[in-house]
Amino acid sequence: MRFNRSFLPISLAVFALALAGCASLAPDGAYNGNTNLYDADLIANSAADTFKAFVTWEHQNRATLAVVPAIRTLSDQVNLNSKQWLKSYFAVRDAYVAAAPADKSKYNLANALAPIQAALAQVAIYMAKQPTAPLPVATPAG
Amino acid sequence: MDPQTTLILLNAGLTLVEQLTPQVQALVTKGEVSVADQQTLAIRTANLRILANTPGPLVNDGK
Repeated sequence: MRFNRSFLPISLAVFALALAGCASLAPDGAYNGNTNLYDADLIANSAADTFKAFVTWEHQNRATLAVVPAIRTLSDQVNLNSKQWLKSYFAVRDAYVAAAPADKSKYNLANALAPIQAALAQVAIYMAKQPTAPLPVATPAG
Repeated sequence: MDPQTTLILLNAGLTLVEQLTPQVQALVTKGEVSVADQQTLAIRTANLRILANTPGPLVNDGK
């Protein structure tokens, strides 16, 4: 494809999502200094925003994007399955939060986010290869 | 594809990247996260949970 200039930054963006992490949390915050939980929630929220933007973008450009049927397939998959991915994440998150500090390592938040990040990587690839109209501005999930 | 069309699509692609960038920047920003920002994310996460438990697709396109 001709859009390698777009592909690189988006690939870096996905890579950044995978490596996202804050250095520290201010004391007395909602996350009680738990950077693992903060980072996981940040990825989940950002992914949901990106999924919404991607699906909306595909809906708004469906005729143009029809030359690459895989884009609609991915959009439909994301639209239908992303809530289940999020529910699975929240199930692990709840178990993690409820666990005693010594047992928290049993609950891998990164693994719980794996399906979300895999879909995010696919979304980024297709958006980079088939730019059309600009994405709608993402609104916070919820 | 003619050069002009290629240029239009390329510009649209770059706009797309620019729109994604703020979110990515927020993710990779290092430093101490304020109490207010933690509270904001906690509220967003609570809303995301509600969304996840709401029946139907993520985006309803009216089909």
